[in-house]
Amino acid sequence: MPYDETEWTAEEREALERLPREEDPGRLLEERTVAALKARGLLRPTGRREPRGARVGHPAWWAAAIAAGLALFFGGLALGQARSSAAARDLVLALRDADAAERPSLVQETGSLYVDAVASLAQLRESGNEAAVGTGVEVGLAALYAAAYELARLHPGDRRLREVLRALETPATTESDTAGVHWF
Amino acid sequence: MDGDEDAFRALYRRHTPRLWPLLGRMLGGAGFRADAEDAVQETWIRAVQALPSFRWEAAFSTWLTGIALNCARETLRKRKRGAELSTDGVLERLDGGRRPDPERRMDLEEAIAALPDGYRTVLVLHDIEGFTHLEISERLEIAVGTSKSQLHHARRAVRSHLEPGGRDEPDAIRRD
Repeated sequence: MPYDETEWTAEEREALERLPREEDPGRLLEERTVAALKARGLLRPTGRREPRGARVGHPAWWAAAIAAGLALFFGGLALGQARSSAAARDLVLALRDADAAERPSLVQETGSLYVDAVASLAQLRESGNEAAVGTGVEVGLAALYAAAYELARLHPGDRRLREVLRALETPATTESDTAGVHWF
Repeated sequence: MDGDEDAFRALYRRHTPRLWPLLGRMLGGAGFRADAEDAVQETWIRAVQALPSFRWEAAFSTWLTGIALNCARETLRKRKRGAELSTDGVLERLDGGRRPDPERRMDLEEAIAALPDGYRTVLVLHDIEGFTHLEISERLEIAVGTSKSQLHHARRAVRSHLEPGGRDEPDAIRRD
């Protein structure tokens, strides 16, 4: 029987049917799209009730949360449960949602936290406490991620920022990269 | 939706997982992820802008897919500027830098991604998304015969990529 080039074989058809028709492109694209719509005035933030005290999602709350994590860590405390580096970043993500006017100051705050983290890490390395250094790296990366994330929200079209975020979102490749990580 | 962020996010999360592979494949696969991301964003911007005129008795997903296809085609057109690409199936070549290694066996996604834009578009719409040739001709504003011809060449090219050194090389792909 002659080979028909214009039709798929049963095997080829099955291979085509196995190709995914649905796939989540990731949270970053959603945030970027929402930011682009807001920048065009096509979307308004959903009103949120403010709990007593601070509002979860408020940039100051976010910065304070990171600061608290840093304080706990650099104060030598291992409070709270151990979390993977990915979970730590997810936590940072969950704390975002700043108003447009507040974002620049948030970038500045997270940048400062990152600088503090790096400075403290330099001291920790001399102590030889590998576990503490590992945790410090994660906290520093979380602050770095937060700053890059806010910059990406301010400039959603910037591919360099997307690459930075993508790199930071890449899971640790070795077990030692994530072992012994403590968050707050 | 009325500009409500939460309502938009719900809509986005429901429909974007369907848009993402479609736009990704149409725009050339993993090597063009940034273009696919831009296209998803642009699709939603246009959709939200046009939403007030959308009649909800029609299928939202169909309407949204139409917008996405237009965005993808515009991206491909921009990419083609200055390139020697034809959409009539007579002379097409692979995009620079994406020429497959003839000695290496490609997987199906890679083989589809390596197709010239015109072939890839029709193959994705017909063989993966299930569009008919008539629907493709209407969406892409081409003749039904052109759609069939593109699909024919696309399938040959995919087979060639999957079986290097096997069957005939696709006549429409010039390895210059």
